[in-house]
Formats: sequence, structure tokens, C-alpha cells
Amino acid sequence: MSELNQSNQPKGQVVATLSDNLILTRIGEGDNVSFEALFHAHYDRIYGLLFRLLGSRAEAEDLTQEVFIKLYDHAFTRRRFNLRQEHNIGAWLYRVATNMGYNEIRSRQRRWQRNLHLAPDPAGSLSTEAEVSQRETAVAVRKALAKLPERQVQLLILRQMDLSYAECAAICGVAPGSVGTLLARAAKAFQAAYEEEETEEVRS
Amino acid sequence: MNDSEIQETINQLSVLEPTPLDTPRPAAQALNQVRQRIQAAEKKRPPSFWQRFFSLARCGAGASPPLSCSFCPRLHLPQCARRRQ
Repeated sequence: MSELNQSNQPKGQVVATLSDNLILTRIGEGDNVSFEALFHAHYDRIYGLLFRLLGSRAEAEDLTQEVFIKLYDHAFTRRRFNLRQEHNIGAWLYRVATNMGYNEIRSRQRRWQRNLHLAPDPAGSLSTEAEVSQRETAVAVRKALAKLPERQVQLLILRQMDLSYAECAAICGVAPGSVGTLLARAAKAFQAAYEEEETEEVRS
Repeated sequence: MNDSEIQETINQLSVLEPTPLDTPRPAAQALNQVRQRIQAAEKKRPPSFWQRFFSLARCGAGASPPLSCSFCPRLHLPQCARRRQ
């Protein structure tokens, strides 16, 4: 069915049957049902991605909402300027979420540099030994990831979230054939950074 | 690095997954907040270039065209048509 015919259908039908381009057009026209369906389809995954990046529930929740507000704005801008490119909304959301997550990490680092006393105690609110140990491992993993280029971190996290090579390629803007090589490189870099992190930990 | 080593490395990242304590608020609740934030942002948003342009523009009869007017307010305003007659 052509897109023109589809756009004559009643609004608010199942979003999964429509092309991403049409969904964006409908959101731009103020179709709340399309926006809600899209929100429900991607909310958990976008939150999961941001939580993995930031390690804070409050920040991840806040930024997840920001990502969808950006999507809403994007749909309206697209309509206003009559932009008609085909979009992969899922890839767009993941890309925006990663960028916003990294922006938050950078601004958090600046805040901490200004107010050292605000730096969180990694094991402050935890009770059991297992929880403390897990949190310490998570901190070490995050520190190792912080030494890697953003794209490598993005790839590793997306694969950890069980996204396919094709999905990773669309989100990272690389050819699907090169994902395997990039992933191997990222894994190797992570191992080196993690071992370095552990050595530093032992020394201190 | 072979595939199993890559997978092993990726599995190491599972410590970053949200625990049950980190479960986000329900999607419906979050969606409500998103709606409120969109409404608040729309109220604060300054008028676009074209909105400002049309609010300042005047047709031949001296009337200010409505914001929804198309790109040529002089041709579309009924006041102009009356004056031409």
C-alpha cells in the first residue's frame, strides 16, 4: 500500500504497521496515539541504555523523557520544513539517547570538578557485601569504559542489550559488515582498559 | 579476539544493567510527565521567525494578517480585495 493511501486511514492505528516516515508525519500533525505507541515501544530500552551509561536511576529517567521530548520537537520541525527523508526512529532514538547521555557525563564531570564534595560515594547506600562488591565491579567497568572512544562504548553496550549487528550499524551509522570488526576492536580495548583499571586499583 | 572472547567481554558489562531497585517509574506515569514538559516548553517557546514576520507585516489596507496566513499576506487578506474593488 502506498504511503499516500496509508495517510488517509484513520489516525491512531497500530504504529507497528506504518512506516517510520509516516509515524513521524503523524506525530508532526499532532497524532498523540502514534506518539504514545512509540513511547511505550521504546521507553524501557532507552531507559536501559541511559542507565547503563549513567548508572543513576533519576538521571536516566529524566534523560529518557528528554529524548522523547526531542522526538516530538523533531517531528514538528520536520513537518514545518516539509522534510520527507525516511527515518529509522529506533536508531534515531538510540543515537540521541547516547549523545545526551554523554553530554550528561561531561557536565557531571564539570560539576564534580567544581564541587568535589558532591562526588557520590560509590558504596554509600548499599548494605550487603554482595551489593557492595557488585557496585565496585560496576564502577571499575564504568571507569574502563570511560577510557574508550564513545563509539566503542556505544557498540559494546548495544550488543550487551542484545541488539543485532544490523541494528547496531543503523544506530552507530556504520556499514553492517564492519560491525564485527569494530566490536572486536572495542572488546579488546575494553579488556586492556579494564586490566589497567584493576592494576591501578591494586596499587592504590 | 574470537567470537567467544568478544561475547565474554560483552557479558562483563551485565553489571551495568538496572537492578530491580533501579526499575524506572511506569511508562504511563513517565508519559504523563513528558506531556506536561512538552506543554510547558510550548508555552515558553519564543515565536518563530515567520510568526514574528507575519505579526509585523501589514497588508495594503493596513491590516495585520493572521498568523496562519500563507507567504503572501497582501494577496490573501479579504481587506485587500475590498480595497481593490
